[in-house]
Amino acid sequence: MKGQAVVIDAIFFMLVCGMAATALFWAGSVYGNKTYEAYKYMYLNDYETSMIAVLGEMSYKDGDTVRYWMTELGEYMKGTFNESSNRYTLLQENFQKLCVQAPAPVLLIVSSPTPGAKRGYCPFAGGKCEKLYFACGRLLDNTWDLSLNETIQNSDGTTTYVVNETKYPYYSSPVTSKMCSTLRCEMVTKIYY
Amino acid sequence: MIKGYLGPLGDDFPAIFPIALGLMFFFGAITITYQNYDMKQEMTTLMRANLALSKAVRTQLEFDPEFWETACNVLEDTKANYGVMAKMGIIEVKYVEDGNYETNPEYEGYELEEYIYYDDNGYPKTIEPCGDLMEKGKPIPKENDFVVVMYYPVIIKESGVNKPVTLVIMTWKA
Repeated sequence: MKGQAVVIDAIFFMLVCGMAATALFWAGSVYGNKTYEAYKYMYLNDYETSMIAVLGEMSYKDGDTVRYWMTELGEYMKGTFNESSNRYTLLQENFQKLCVQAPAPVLLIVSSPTPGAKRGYCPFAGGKCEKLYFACGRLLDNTWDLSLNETIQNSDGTTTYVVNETKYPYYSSPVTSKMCSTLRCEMVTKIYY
Repeated sequence: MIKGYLGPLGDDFPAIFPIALGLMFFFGAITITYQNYDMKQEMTTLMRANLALSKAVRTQLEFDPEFWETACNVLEDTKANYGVMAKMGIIEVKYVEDGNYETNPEYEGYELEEYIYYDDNGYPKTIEPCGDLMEKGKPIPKENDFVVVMYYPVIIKESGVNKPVTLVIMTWKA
């Protein structure tokens, strides 16, 4: 009888040890993962901020004319040219040149609170808010298999997709304000890691 | 003699097994947790080092061949006890050879191509990578070492336009 009691105590001890071990393992994993995730987000934030900064400086040639991407974006939003124009094609093509450099698929969302914007006008005071989306090639790839619910344009202007932004995990930069031509543009970048 | 009584030691002997098993679980979990934590800690330390090095190097958005040399010197001076490697390039989409590029291109991956620029005489030149893998006697990553590779967008001025390129920084524990 004494021996039986000791064995029962020992089994109880084993169960307690097992529970303690599981709790320890779980806590260690959670802490390790949280720290790793924090640095990953720090990197993504740095990347997104740098990407918007590069968009602000990026330029390209349209014949003999040097065009700045951010200025061209503003002109497009003001209605100076539309999707059938070569300027729009160059705008999209040059965005693609930058966004394929990203470590993961990128979505750039642009809007402007300035009343002069014919496209992407999103007033501060409320009312109908329109946004423009620039999606990177990988987001538009069939293998990515996005199920979508917002409209974006393909880089060649011919295919329309919509993005269900809640389906895939992403990191979003804070809203960055930039001057695009004479408009003020509010920009958000999302990286789908 | 009492029936079923094996003796003071024999009676308690079976209890040793669950005690030993419990202790094995406990110390095994401590070991695995510590290893997991240590591995994540090494990764986060390398990521932190990579971010810090990139900030030290990217004091301006525009990288030209002259600034690249300065950037490489900064990298060498601030890397402390890490192995580092930096490279400039352009990531390009590669398509399968059989793909019909006009209607349905199928990409097979993204490759980092070396950036080629043209000097004043029109000769093509590349921006050479710099870091520990380029010099003999410097620390190189061993087989099971973690290596963190991070990409950063920068600008290069060429032919009067600002082109987007990628700065790649690799970090490992020296």
